[in-house]
Amino acid sequence: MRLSPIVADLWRRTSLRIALAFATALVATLALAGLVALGMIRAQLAADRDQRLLDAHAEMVREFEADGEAGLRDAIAERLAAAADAPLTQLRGQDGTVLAGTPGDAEAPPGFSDLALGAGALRVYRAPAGPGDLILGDASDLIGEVGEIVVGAFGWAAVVVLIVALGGGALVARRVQGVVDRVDAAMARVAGGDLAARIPGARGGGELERLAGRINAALGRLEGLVEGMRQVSSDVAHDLRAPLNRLRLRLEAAQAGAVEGTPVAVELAAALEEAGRIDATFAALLRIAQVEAGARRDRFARLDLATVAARVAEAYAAVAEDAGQTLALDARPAPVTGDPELLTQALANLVENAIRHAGPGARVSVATAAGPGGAVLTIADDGPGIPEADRARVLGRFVRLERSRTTPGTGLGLTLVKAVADLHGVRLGLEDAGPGLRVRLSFPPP
Amino acid sequence: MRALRAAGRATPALFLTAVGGVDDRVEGLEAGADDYLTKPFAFSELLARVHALGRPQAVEQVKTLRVHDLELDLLARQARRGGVAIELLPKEFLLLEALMRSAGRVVTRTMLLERVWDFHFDPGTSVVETHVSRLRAKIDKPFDVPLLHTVKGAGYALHAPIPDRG
Repeated sequence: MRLSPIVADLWRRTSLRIALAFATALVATLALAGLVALGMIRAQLAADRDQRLLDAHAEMVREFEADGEAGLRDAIAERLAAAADAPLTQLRGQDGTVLAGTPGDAEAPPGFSDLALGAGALRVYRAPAGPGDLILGDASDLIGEVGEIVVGAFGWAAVVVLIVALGGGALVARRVQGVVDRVDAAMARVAGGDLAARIPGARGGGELERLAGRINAALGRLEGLVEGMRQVSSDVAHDLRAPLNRLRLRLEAAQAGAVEGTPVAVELAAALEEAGRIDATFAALLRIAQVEAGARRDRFARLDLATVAARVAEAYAAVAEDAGQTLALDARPAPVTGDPELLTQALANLVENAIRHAGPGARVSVATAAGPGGAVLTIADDGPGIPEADRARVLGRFVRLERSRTTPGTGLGLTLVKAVADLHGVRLGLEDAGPGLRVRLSFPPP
Repeated sequence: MRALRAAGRATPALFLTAVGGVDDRVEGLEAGADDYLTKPFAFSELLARVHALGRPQAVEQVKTLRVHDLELDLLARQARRGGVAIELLPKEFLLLEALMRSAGRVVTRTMLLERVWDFHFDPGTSVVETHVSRLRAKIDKPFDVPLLHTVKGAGYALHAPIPDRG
């Protein structure tokens, strides 16, 4: 009773069923091969026996032709003496009397025939020789013996094949089942929400291990993505609470003003402005998400970075001037493949950053050039720059350095630049311009 | 949309949609839409754009735009106010043209960014403000009556002075 669940479990395992089916097919094939072999051996042995009888008869006929009836009698006696079990050798006259050889009057038709002889069978050949008919018998039971040997051999072979096939099948089944069980357990954990679950023992060269490795890699990617999403949502929630709170304060002030009858236009305008900033943050987040999803790559076209740089520089020259800065442009032809709108926005973000953080009197420069390794776009300023320790960090969402906490901005500008750079296969480098910051976008070779 | 245009209807149309890619926008405009606005949007933005669509189509053929004593010669690319010629940079000219074509109506920052700079994103800094203030210095400052007005929280409007209205 305790075994039956195990058996049922075993039976459910596909690999074991396959092994069983395989073993059955092997044994059936073996049996068929045995039958065919047996048939062929039997036919050959029977043909050999008949040939021996024909040869013996021909020999006696030759003896008779050489030495007459005496020669024939000698030959008969010789045949009877040679074989230990004294096979039937008889010369019968035309009238049916036994002239020489084995006594007895067993009926034997001319040609080949089979006679029952005790437990065995006797192959008999009757043909004319000398004064009458020569009846020759062969009692050798080689055919039966060989048949037994063949059947026995094939039977044992079948047993061995069955054991090996079942044992091997069970081994294979256990191995496959082991991996399948591990995959099953891991996926059950994943389905339960544990994205950190991995399939153990996924190393090795086998295809099952490779499959497990692939599943692990996919799980790793999934976990990373989900973790990223969690991070983004918590960042968004965290960073939008502050402006929402400010918005609420403004609205509360306006409400209070409305109750007291004091003008509320200033508070409402400030509230609108705050709402606009929140909207801008969401727009930037959406844009980044869209770019990071890579959905825009089908819009790539050949374009000249110099044109993009010129457009942005034209838009920002006056802004820089009002901030007491200069914006210099050194636009040399730099053909690339990309999304012109995204590249414009990325460059605009970088120029804006430079203007915003470099301080009054700073010189901001935008340059494009075509190099042997691919086009390069650089934006440099001679402001305070970014400390080396912070350079990788500022590309993240909502990261704003302590120094620039008070300046306007969403903290998403460089995140978008990074996303656009990644989409274009661009290496984004933040360097020390000594003093200041130099951002270098190195495009892949055309 | 295509069917409507194929039937020869010139009814102004604005696509209001959550699909905001450049391709989708280009496709919409090519199909015959006059404007394209993606969600989420501010109501003031939609209002300004609908107002802009409502203008008489004949304005397109006008060679000179006029608001009060301000004139913009689109062919000679010349601006004059009260007979005095005003030197404008190319972007300032485009900015003034956009404002004058929608004279008396609010033009939002986003609309100006699209029409003057072809920027289909919102730069955080004051590209529009800077240029508007420079334009204002040229067309309003030397004169008694201001024509270019800031509409708080919405955008800008260019209009002749109206008594009792700010």
